[in-house]
Formats: sequence, C-alpha cells, structure tokens
Amino acid sequence: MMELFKVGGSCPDTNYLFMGDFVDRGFYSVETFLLLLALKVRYPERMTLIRGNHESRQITQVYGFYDECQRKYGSSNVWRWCCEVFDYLALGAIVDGRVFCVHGGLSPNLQGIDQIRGIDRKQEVPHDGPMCDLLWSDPDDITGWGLSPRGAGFLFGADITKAFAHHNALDLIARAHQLAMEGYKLMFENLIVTVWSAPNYCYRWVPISCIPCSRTEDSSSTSCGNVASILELDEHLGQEYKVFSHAPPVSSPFVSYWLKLSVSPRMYAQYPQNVHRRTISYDSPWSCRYIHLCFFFVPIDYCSRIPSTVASAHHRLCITKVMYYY
Amino acid sequence: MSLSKRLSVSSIRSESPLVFAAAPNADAEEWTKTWQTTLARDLIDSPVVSVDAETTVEDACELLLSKDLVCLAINNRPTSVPGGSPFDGLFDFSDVNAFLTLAATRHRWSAEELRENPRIDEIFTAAKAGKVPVHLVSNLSEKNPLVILPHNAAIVSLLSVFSTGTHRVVLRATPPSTDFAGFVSDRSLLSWFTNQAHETSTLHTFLSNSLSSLNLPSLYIYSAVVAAKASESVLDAMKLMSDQGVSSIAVIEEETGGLLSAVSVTDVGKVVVPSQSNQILSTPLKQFISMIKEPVGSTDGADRYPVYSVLPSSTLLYTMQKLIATDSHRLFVTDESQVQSPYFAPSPTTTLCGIVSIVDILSLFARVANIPDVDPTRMRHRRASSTSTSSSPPSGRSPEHSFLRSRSSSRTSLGRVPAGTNSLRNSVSSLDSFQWAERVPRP
Repeated sequence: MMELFKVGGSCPDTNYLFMGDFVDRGFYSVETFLLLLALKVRYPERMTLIRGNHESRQITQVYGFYDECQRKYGSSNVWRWCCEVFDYLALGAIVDGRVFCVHGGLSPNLQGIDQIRGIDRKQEVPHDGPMCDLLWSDPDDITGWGLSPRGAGFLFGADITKAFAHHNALDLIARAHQLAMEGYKLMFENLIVTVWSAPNYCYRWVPISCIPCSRTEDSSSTSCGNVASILELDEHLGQEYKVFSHAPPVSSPFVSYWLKLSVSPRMYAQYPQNVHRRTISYDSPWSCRYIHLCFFFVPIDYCSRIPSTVASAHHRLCITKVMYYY
Repeated sequence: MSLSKRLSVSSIRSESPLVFAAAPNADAEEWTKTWQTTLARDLIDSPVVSVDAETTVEDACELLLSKDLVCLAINNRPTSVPGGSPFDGLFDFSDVNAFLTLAATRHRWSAEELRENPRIDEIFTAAKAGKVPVHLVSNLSEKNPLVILPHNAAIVSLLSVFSTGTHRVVLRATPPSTDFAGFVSDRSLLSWFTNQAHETSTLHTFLSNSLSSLNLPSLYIYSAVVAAKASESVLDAMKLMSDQGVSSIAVIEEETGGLLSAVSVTDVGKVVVPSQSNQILSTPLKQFISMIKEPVGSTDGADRYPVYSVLPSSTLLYTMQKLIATDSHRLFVTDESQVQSPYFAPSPTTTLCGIVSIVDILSLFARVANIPDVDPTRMRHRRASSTSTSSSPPSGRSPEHSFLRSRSSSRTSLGRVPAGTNSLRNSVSSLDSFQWAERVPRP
C-alpha cells in the first residue's frame, strides 16, 4: 500500500477512491483496513471507500479475515465491528457524473444509477439480488447476460455495458474484482476497465507463526508475475494508468504488528464503532475532482515495511481527531 | 463451456402459484420422441482411462489427481471369467472417501462384523500386508457401479440409468471395434437438456416453473440434507459422507445456524490425500473450508462464493443453468429469514431447507418420459443401511428407517466412536498402517 501511495502521491495531497476488497487473502488485513479507515476519518473528502465482495461476514469467515482478527485480538469482536462498518460502505461512486465506479459489475435488475441510490445497503451482502450483483458480476465476451461460474452475480456482455453507459450518460465504468496481468484491462471499446492494484498477487510470504495451510510457499517461490496499476483522472477526466510492481520483500521472518504496539487493543476495538457513526452521513455516491482510482488488496510485504515512527504518528493523529469529534 | 454462458436468464424467479406443475401430456410425448432418437454418444465428455486391478489405491488416486479425472475404470483381473465386460468396476472420489474413512475407523470393526463383511476383511488383510489393490476398493462407496451401454444408446437409456442415482455410464464404441468410446456423465446430459430449452419453447415453459411447484424428492425435507457443524472435524465429515452415501455435505455455521459452505468427496481427494500428516483429519471444518477455497482464485482473483444455492422460488431452468455454470453437482435450497439484531442492520440468515442435485433433475425428466422405477435416492438408502454396524438392528429393517436412525446418530458423530482425543489418535495412527502418508506424493 505504501508503494501505491508512492506512485500516486500520499493522501490528502491526492484524492483516492478504493474500490473494495480491503481484507482477506493476506496476513495484514486488519492493519490495511484500519489504516484506510483512519485516512477516511481524517480526510473524509479526500478518501473514498466502496464495498467489495470481501467486505462480508460470510466471505471473511472463509478467506482469512475472521481468523486474523481471532489471532490478533483473541476474540471475534474486532471482526464483528469491522463487518458492521462494511455494512455502511457505499456500493458505488461517480466521478464528476461521467465515470461510474463499482467493485464487480452490473445487474439485470438495475438499469439506472438512481436505482442504486435506492437500495437499502446497510446490511450483509445478500447471496443474490442487485446489491450482490454489483459486487460479484464480471464483464465477459458474451451477448446479454450469463450465469457466473463464481456462484453469485452475473456475466454481462458488451451490449449490456453499452446500454447502461448510454442510459446513464457515462464515459467509463471502472471496476475491479478480477486480476489483470498488465495491471489494468480495457474492454468493449474502452468503455469498461478492470483496475488491479495488487502486484505479484500469488506471492504469499508466510510468517512462521501462521495458521497451518497445505499450500505454504517460502519467500523464494516463483510468482504469477502480474503488475499493478492505479488509474489517474485529471480535471478533464483524461485517463492515465500508472503501472507499478511489487516492492522487494522483507527478509525478517518476524513481523512486528505496529498497530498493537502503538495503540492499545481496547482503543482499537472501539475505533470502528465510532467511525461508522460518523459515516452515516454519506448516503449517496459522491463526486470528486482529480482523484485516483485503485483496487486495493492486501500487500503483505508492504505493511511490514512501514517505518514505525510514521505509522504511530498517523495513528495518534487519527485517534486524536476522532476523540475531538466526540 | 461458452455455449452455456450465453443462455438468457430471463426468468430467475417464477411467479406461478404453489401448485404441483406437470408437463402437459402432448408436449411430453414430443420431447420423449426427441430423447429416443438423440444418440448418447454425442454427449461423451471424458475418455475411459483404465488401470490394472492390482494397482494400489494410492497410485490410482494419484492418477485421478494428476490427470484431473473424476473416475477410472479398473481392468479385469486375470482370474475373471472371459467374455464378460473387460472392466472389473469403476473407482472415483466417493470410493476414495469410503476407503479413507474405513482406514481411519478400523478399530470400530469387531471380529463378528468382519465375518459378515468379507470385502472389508479382505481390505484390512491387504492393508496389513502393506498393499491394497484398487479392485478391492472399486465401488466401495456403493454409489459408483459400472454401467455399460451399447454404442447406439439413446438419451432415454441415459435417463433410465441416471434416475437410479448413478452418475456416469460407459459407452461402447461403434462395432466392429471392441473399444469404449468414453464416459457420459450426468452433468453432460443436464447440459444437453439446458440447451434444448432454448430450441424447444414448450420445454422452456415447463422449465420456467419454480422448484417448489415441481415434485422433487429432497425439497422442504430438511432431514434429507446431510449436514455437519463448522466445529466438527474433517473425519466427521468423511464418515457422514461414507455412511450416508452422499458425495457432499452442508456445513452449518454455529452461531446463526445458517449455511456456511459445503464439503465434498472431491475436496477430500484434493486436500486430505496429499496432506503430509494425519492432523488433517482432526481439523475443524471451518478451517478445512478455508483450505479448500484458498487455491481457487488465488492466481486470477476469481474468488467464488463459498456455497452455491437457490431459493424454492427459483425456476428449474435457472437451477440447471447455475449447476452448469458453477460446475457443481448439487445446489442447496435455502430460505431467507431475517434475523433482527438489536444493534444495526438486520442480517439475513440462509436457512437450509433442501437440496437439488443433478440426478434429482434428471429423474424429473425420466418421469416425464414415463420411465419406470425412478428413485435417485436409492443408493443413499442402500448405503446407509449397509453401514449400520454392531450396535444397530439387523439389516432386514426398511432402508428408510435405518437411514433416519443412522442420520440422527451420525449427527452427533459420537454414537460408536469413543469420545476423547486418544481414540482419534488411535484411528489416525491406524491410517499409518496403510502406509498412506509415506506413499502419497507432494502436490
């Protein structure tokens, strides 16, 4: 994540929109999500977070976030509170009325963006229906709609995409949800783009104290070698894709969980509760100028490279601010 | 299968009232005519790969995993009568699961029971000698019989076979060849029916009925769904699948009672078999599910939903399309009930109310074609009554009754296995006597 901020510029100097999937499949989901949340609370107009399919109780129980919280805090409280925050995340965002951003894709039950505004989103992601489709669907080279092999959401073709873009006066649909080897993938005559910001996605560096897993790889294993990208939009909504690859891995096998060191777990546990009360105010997708669009996943190498002084400073700043608001 | 992806999903939920829908007779006759003339060999979806009868179970399993196959044919032993089929039987992941479960629970078998079950006795004897030939384990699950059809068999013949719960048939090649053309699986036939729905509007209408309006055997019958709690172990799941004669079980989340995911015999084959230690058997199912799901989507970001399900109001066509799209063998049927939390948003809990498998749907078509003797659950009942051992009444009891009784005892999974970790360690070490861990290669 720090590499990503280096490429795009740090918040709040740069506006960011993260398109979901903040947790799971890594070992620093807690730190990652809470840092993003801290930035959101500190700079609400400069940081935008929308919901991904992993921001869900059911998914996080299977893909690792629940286990991580259990390991780091000894109970499921932090997981439960984070899931409650997930319920409040918006399902989509629009940049200057012309670029629509969503984690997965489109739904056969939604033709207009106003219909998305009308969804009661403050709930666990259902296993079917429009709210589920927005977070699970994929574009595909088919005509019309197809059932998704993922078991949730749909596949949608160029015709559907063009109709949606036309109906809602959009220039571009930006989404995430699938790996793009080159960091980004444009489809349907550049009408829809998949942005993927987790470089070297298959690389899994497993600390010694990890959960037993039949597929552990050591730090010298080969990777799937994908690069990552962030999409930069300028004031005219011109697109520029900034591509980057992974930072060199840390050689130390022991990780210091800087979160726990700088702030007591109890304060941390209360943190998401305060945050979500604050975020009730945003009820609809919002627009912002000059922003970065990223798909954010868990960069296990990055978090361990955060210099502790910077991390703690960030933290205390955020905590102070929250206390001030209340 | 790109063709399947192009199918329209116009009607996902049916609006028809809750009446049992039946296919109009005239239409049924039309369809049956097509089914009698279309040849099964157009539906072949995998070649027949065979192994020698003396191949060890471990080697046969490795072949399944390395070649990404679901079933092997076992060649006849030299001692068998010539002139019959060249194959002794079939071997698939259900048999692997039955074998592993047997290995892990061998201390349960008393001398008297072994006398009553000579094949089990032979397996244990072979294991003590250090080598279990695969022909002893062929169709150990009793769900995988060898069925051979002639080269010119039609769809209706396939329906007759699949409506008894069998999942695949072997087709002979066109004479004068004495070879075998390949396997036709139940999924292949289901896929064919799904495509037919787009060519035949009357069929499309019939398939647009909701699941609840069709007479499917395992809907709204909760006891028909074999399930385990997320805190139970992998060995508990394996025993359930083996004893109940099912290839998959649902895993229920403890806190809410909702459906979390599912575990199948294929997962057992892919994760338990290559495992380097027997610790895998005592792993809680919640963790096992993470192990199963972790590789899927780990290189292409295409994560899948943890459990595939439909609602009672979903149409039959949608259900068929979903089975094909997700490449799965069954879908759970769930009813959504809102759980009101005192704090924030109500979270919907998926309550399991039934199951729909490929053979259930094919049985429906078999009934439409007026094929007699349709019973897709027959194999489960037979299996459940045959695995009842010492503490149970004699097998003369009706299959249904013993199915329910063994179901309730296997729920707690404490009925016949002594509680405590010592016994688990003993049963796990008995697995070593099969020299399994040493011989199974690293993935």
